[in-house]
Amino acid sequence: MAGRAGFAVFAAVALAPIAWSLGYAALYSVGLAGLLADGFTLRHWAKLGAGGGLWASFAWSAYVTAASVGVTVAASLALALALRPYLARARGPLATLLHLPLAIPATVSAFLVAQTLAPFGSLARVARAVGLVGAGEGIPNVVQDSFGAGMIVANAGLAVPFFTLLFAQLYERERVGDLVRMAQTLGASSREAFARVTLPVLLRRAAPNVALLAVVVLGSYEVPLLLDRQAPQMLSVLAMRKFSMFDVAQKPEAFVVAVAYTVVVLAALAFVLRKERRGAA
Amino acid sequence: MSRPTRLRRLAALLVGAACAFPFVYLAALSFVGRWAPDRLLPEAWTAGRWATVFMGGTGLGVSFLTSGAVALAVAAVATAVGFVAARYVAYHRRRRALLFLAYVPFAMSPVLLGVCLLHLYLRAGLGGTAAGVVLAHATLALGFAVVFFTAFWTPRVRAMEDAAFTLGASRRQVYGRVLLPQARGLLVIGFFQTFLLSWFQYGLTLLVGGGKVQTLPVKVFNYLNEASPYYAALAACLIVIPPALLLVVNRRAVFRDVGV
Repeated sequence: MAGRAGFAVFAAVALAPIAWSLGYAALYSVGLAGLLADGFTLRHWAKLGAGGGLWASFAWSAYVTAASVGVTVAASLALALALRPYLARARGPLATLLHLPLAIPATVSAFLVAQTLAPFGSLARVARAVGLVGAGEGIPNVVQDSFGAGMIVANAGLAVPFFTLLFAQLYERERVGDLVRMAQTLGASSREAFARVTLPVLLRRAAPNVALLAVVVLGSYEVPLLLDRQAPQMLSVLAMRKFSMFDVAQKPEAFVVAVAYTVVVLAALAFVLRKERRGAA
Repeated sequence: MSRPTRLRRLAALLVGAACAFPFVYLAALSFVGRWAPDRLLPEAWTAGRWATVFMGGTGLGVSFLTSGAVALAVAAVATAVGFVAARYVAYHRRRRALLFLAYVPFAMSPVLLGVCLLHLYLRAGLGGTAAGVVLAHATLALGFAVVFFTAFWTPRVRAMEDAAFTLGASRRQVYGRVLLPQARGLLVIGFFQTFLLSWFQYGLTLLVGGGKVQTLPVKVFNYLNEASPYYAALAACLIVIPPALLLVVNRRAVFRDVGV
């Protein structure tokens, strides 16, 4: 009884408003709702798709997401394996320190990257002090650069501590050490044991968290708002820019981005959950 | 287990320092008085900015309290509703479909969700209000809470419920004496994590709050837009220090196995 009432509250507070507003966004994007409603049209979709930057934004967002997730997973795996003696049972000073960045939001991470890695930021001050760059010169720009390096650093900086703890914990819980020893007893080299035992076990167990990280980065706003270049922009920033413009003609395009993003993410979520169910069966 | 070598010790030191760096750097930046661009270190320090937090001069104290009140309300609602709603999801014959629905708010980008929700909130008179911000944050936090607590409702827990009912316990007694004590640790973690979801939220607050609900993340961006990095650092300190202290004091109470 309480469970049903609880779910009804969840549906009323979360699901119904989302369904209503996604429906409204979809109608707005095809000219059937809002200030510019003048009958069904696909011109907003066509405009954003043709030259308005939707596909470029999707591609850019996908690149930043893939790079952030890739760097995070690679760095976390390397740290978890290298620092295992310090992370046993998630105790000890290093484990405590690795928990600290969990208290840092994306807003602060982006701010830190902007302050430290900008051409005239704190790192540039150090570089000048040790003579790596001359007086009045800055370091190479990695903030708002064409590779999204600042955004990747900000995203990975937030996620690497968490994933290091996760991989270290999974290593113990899944008894990967025993499995590796067994593989080596059966003739596997260290490299083979890593590639065929350690890596698949850890990555498979961490897959839901990795997928979640990808979703969070793909839809992130604060990091690209501070650290992204002007064009192409990540999806959330593009949508917000179109939505906040004084030109109301741009508003339907914000809803195009929102609807397109939601469809893609929910399709991916359905795929992941279905795959997980098949894996569990 | 492999033994620490000198290289590993150095790596551990560097990683530990990197984790502590943001806190030290932000704290130092919030005390900077004057720092010329060509200088390695600040030329002057000041505690004046921190004093304004307590004197009420910058509104940061109010923002701290606003953020705290909003996040506490969101965490309380999300934890209570999420816990019982998760029971419905976990025991439902269409569990997977309901779980997918629970993932929906959590999977959406908060800003895109805000763009879509804003019209509804404005029509309901919730735009630019703290109640609207709480409700919008709860939309995200509830999805997370339902997914998070679904893991608690296992066949074993159901067997315990059934046993308690068989022994004559009322529904209230089952919750009060069996389920809540069993779930206490998880409830604390769920509360903390939904609190953080709201405490950290920027985009959704900006859209639904319309700039009138000035939480700490909104303040950080306001200061950055005003090119006041030292005040932004101060606001950032106020965001990160409370949860960091909580994590240091009792991380097991607020953070289960990271694999959840």
